[in-house]
Amino acid sequence: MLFNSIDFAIFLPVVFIIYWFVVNKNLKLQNFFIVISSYVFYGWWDWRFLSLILFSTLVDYAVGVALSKQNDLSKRKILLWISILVNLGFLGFFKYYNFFLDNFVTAFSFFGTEIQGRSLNIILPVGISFYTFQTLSYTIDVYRRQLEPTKNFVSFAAFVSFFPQLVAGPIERASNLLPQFYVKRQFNSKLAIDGLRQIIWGLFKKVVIADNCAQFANDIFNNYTDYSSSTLLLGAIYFAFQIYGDFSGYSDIAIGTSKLFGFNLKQNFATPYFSRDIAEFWRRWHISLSTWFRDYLYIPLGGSRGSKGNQIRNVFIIFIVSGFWHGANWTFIIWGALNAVYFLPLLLKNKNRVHTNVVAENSWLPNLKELFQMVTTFGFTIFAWIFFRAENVEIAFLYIKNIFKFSIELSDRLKLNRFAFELLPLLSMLILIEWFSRQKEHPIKNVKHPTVFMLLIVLLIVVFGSFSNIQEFIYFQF
Amino acid sequence: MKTFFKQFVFALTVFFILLVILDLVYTQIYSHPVYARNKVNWLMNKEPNQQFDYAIFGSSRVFFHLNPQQIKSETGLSGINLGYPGSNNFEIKLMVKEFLKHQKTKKIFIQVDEQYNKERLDPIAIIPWMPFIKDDYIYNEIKTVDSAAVYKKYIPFYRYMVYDSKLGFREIMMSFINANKFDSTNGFAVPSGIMQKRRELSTIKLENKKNNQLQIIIDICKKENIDLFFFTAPYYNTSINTEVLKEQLPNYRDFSGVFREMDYFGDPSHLSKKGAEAFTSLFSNTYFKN
Repeated sequence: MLFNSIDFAIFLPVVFIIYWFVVNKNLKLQNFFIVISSYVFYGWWDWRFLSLILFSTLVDYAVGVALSKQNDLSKRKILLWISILVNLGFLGFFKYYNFFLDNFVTAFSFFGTEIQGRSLNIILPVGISFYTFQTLSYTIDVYRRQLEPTKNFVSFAAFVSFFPQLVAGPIERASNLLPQFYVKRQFNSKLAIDGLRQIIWGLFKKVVIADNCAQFANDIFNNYTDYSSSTLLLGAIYFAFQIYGDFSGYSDIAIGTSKLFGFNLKQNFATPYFSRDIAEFWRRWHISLSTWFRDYLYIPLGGSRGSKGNQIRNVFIIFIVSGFWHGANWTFIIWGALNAVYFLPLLLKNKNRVHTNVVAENSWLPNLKELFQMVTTFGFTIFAWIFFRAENVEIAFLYIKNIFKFSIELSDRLKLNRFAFELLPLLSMLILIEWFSRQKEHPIKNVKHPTVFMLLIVLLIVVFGSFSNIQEFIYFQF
Repeated sequence: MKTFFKQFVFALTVFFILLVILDLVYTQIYSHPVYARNKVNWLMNKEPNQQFDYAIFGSSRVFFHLNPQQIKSETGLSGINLGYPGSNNFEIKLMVKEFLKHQKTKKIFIQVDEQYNKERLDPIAIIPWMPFIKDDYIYNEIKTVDSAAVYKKYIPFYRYMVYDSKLGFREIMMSFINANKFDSTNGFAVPSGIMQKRRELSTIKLENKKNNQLQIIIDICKKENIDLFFFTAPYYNTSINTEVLKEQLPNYRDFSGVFREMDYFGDPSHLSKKGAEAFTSLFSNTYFKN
């Protein structure tokens, strides 16, 4: 079920009403209803894959319970590995089987040995990368004794399948979300109103910014041989805004929806395109994934401690794995590696934690240095996005090669496109709104006239939204 | 909970009012545009009760092919080209009915081709009619072929949202600043480009049965005492079983194979500028000079 679909527009109020008016008396009922609603939400797409979520839930619940009774370190390790192997096993099979097979076949044929590999026609279960990481975080935290294992299966099932964030995150930590299922939720008007506003803002980013940019970016990326350098550059910029609007919009809708049900999820995006260096960018972009990799991969590897060699290795591992998490394609691996290359100088100079505050914290506008830093970081990011967006590595390199031909003209096709007319003012508006609300969770929070502001955003959605070309959320494919 | 619902209902009410206002504004602009940007709009805004010697209806294969101005210079007859891209039998019927509501003519020409067997609406060609769906007659017509017509009529602004790429903000703005290319030529748009690659023979197979939409036009013309003609415009290297059309339609003439030269075509289904001039002459000689 898409957040921007009629199905969800009916599903959400129905679930909301039942949740607050029918099952509100009892915590167990509340949690059970969330599990049922979440399974309906997921099954709407393909009910067969509900078995995967259920199996993953059963395994991690059982492992958690077993860990609570086990003090022997080696046995605890075995339990942890059971969880890791089951979860990553599913992920590996559904997401990476064909990729590894194709690459093995190619590698063997390169050395003169022809081997036969049978590719499978595998459907990637929506959201598998997200809920897998979420349940893994639970088992690892329990294993590390940082979290008490739950004895309540329904609460745990609700934590794993919680529908607002099931298919594309934010990847919640058990330590934040699970305890919220232990307490009966009381309706909080302030929180719910804030949630509603955040949903509206998320819809604006998705329907107005991302979906409109998508048409432009898709056209340019699909016909990159026909376009001049300036248009190709514009295509990469449009994709940067498409993916930002798409994913951060989704996150806002997910967080806002959770608030309607009395839950607080962690912020997933914090105006990342206003970052002054790539380290800051990664503290602000897809925060739930970045911190997941930091806590469960980077720090266990040694993080920024140890020799320079180890530090470099760790940075490359975390970024490449993060790239690979996005998809089984070399484009994502190169995208990750490129970000590691960007990050490395900061780490080596010990400057990766210079910009931990918000840019121009106490002033209206950035100074020239900050502006330069933001533009440069955005430029680097755009360059990396080309790999992320391209069908394959060869196309990415050709796209970049064509950019560096330095031909400046907007082709006729581009000029005729309706979006040349509307998109640039809309993007400027997004940048301005986000700039002036960069210290807040979302722009409609704590403003003087929130209702007026919200209605203005609704007006923009209605007038400029791309409804004839509704795009699926990009991160659904991951 | 009360505060939340109060706010929610308030926001919903304002949202609904907003949709109603936007719907009124958009519909008003499309009903009385500074520049009519499509054929439906153009026809709706034509001065009523004009007498035309003929009117031609069809798809892009009329829009880009037959120039009423050229016919006037060759025969002295004044006519109007009401073809527009994508228009199918259903939209042609709507166009004929709308035309006869406000204008007069002695002869009507309908272009028929590979789309002959289609009875349903064309999802693109129907869009220019959407601003006028509140008109009972247009709504009753559209609802027979579109199950979503009821939402488009009754949910304010819904039709402008679902067709945002054709009826959205850009089109509204363009109707203030950018004139169409067919106003000065009585509905004819000059084609551009010449076909570069020779194409293998392609075959179009029509089913031998009546088309209900066209039958309605035949009945109307009979009732109004208007001479009705059907024809097929030229194709490049295409075999089409036009004997079906000869059998099913009155006063049918087949022009599908009259041109063989590549430079007469922009693509296999559309003539070039040179081809359009030649076809207009041929059309005018065939129907108006005997």
